[in-house]
Amino acid sequence: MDISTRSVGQVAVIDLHGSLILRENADELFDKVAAFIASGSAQILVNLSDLARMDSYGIGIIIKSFKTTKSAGGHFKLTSPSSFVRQLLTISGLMTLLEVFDSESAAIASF
Amino acid sequence: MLESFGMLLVGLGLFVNGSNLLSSNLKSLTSRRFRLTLTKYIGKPWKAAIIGIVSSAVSQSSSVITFILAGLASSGMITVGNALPIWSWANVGSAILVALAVSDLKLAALYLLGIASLSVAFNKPVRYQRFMGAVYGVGLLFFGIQLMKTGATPLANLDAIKLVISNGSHFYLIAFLVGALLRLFIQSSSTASIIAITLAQANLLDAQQTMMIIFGTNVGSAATVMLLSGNIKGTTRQIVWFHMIFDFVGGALFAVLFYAEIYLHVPLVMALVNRFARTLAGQMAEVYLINRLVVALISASCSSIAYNFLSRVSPPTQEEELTKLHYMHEHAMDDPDLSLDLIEKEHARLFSRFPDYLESARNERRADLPDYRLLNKAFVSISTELSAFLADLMKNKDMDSITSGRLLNLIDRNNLIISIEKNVFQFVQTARKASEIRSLEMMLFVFIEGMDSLQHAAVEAMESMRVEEIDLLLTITFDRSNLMEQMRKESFNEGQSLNNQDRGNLFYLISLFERGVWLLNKLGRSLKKLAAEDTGTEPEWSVEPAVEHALTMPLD
Repeated sequence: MDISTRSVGQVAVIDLHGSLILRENADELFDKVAAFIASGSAQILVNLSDLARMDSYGIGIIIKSFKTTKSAGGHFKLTSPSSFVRQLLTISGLMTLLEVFDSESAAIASF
Repeated sequence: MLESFGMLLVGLGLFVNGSNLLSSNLKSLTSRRFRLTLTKYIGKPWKAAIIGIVSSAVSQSSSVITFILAGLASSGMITVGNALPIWSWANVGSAILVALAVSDLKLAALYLLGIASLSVAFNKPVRYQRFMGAVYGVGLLFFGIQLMKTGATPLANLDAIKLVISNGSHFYLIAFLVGALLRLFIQSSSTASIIAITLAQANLLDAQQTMMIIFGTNVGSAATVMLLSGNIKGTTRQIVWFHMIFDFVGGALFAVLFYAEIYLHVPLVMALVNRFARTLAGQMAEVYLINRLVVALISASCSSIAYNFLSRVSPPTQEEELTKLHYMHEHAMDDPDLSLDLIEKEHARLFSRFPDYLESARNERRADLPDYRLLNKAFVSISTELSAFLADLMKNKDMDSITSGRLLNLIDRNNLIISIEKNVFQFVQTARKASEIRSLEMMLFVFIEGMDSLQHAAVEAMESMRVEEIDLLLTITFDRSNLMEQMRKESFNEGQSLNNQDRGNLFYLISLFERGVWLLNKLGRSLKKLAAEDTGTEPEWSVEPAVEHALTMPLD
């Protein structure tokens, strides 16, 4: 999995590429989130548009990142999941836990 | 002569049937109570001796004791170290039946058989039918002995029998082998020995041949467990091998002593019993007792060494490790609060295994995790024990109201965990069947990973008991019947090409998923109530703001 980061205003954006699964260093996402929070940026948006696959381990990392951000007083949101990833997020109940947006601009505007 | 053979045969049949009837009725009378007693009083050598003697007197079979002990040890209720001395002394208890059988109980046998058979025939009193069944067994057993004696007496006048007895010294080894074979077929050393003693009373065998038959039963007992233990592994094998080794040692040692006494004229067992008992039957009953007592003393004194050796040769299996209770034990039952704490820990431990079941449903599964069927087997074993503990705690009348309330909550949760496990097991079973259909691969992946993440969230909530984790569980297990209904419709469209059975599996999988989510939500609510009780507050039923947001979004 590849991860790149950028900032849009006050929001730290994390772009995920490839697969968020156990075997492909999914923990790196949490490391990035923790680093943003440590540097004082607790408004985090994860862009899933280029994420092809995710398993329960990846879901666990997203939940962990959400909890950490929330306890730091920030917000953790998702944007642009593919149809497959959206289905997985829905089935595992994350759509009721997190705010998930269809477009990045709508997500940025919600912070 | 034909009549004598017939009588001998009927006597033998009644005797063996009576023995089986006695054993089966006593086993069902005593199983759980018996196990509770065993686990409550173990530890000290003298307690092990009393329990061993009493238990084999009750069950009339050291093999039965071996398998009860093996079951207790493999489920973690007692240690192998504590089980071995009990087995050692279990040998001695069976001597009680031998002593009773050689006594003249003709009249007692008739009354016993008459009363018990009428009671069984009319099924009265209903409450004591198991007990009366056992008494009926004893009556048949003694009546069988009487018939055998009556039938065998005229046979002693046969020339062939006289020849065997007069050339007895040539038949000692054969008698030893006959004893081993008799034990192998009848499955009880005491029963085999009583048959030999009865034939000796009718002059069909001499004292030396009878002794060798009694000693041979030890080897027969060892051979029986050797034959039965072919596929047995781990802790069970440790106890079975202990039984086998010391039974074999007992038979071999006494055969050597016998030959030393016969040929070297060293006064040993025969000399000893001649000093005490007057009748042949009494002497043989003493031979049986001495044999069992010596085996008990040797095996009890060597049990620590044997345990160290056997635990190296046959360590516990993965199944046994999974099946063992880690926290709860019989001694904790004296303190209800402690019992409830320990049962809660067992629940959390069992629950943490549920995500592992799902590994069996994945295409690329991890080899280090046990198969879901093995996990299910272990779960059933432990949850049965925990349910029995909870049922026993319910009988405690001295419990305060707070502890009673906690107990009721825990019983509810116990039932809920059993339902969740059953659901996960069936979910994996159905997913495995559906995995053969290529077109469902992606859908299955979504369901399996979704279920796994929900199970992990539930484990986290249960282990931490933190309100935030419980709230998270409640949020992600929010009612999603609309979503599931939509998935059913989509599956119906996608499943047009499937045959009825495959489509049935797919729909069943969706139902199991839906039920799984509902059960986890129910668990979350139970945990929330418990967490609030612990802090003495009322639970607050809030959901994440995102729920509103998500519920108003269109479903893909």
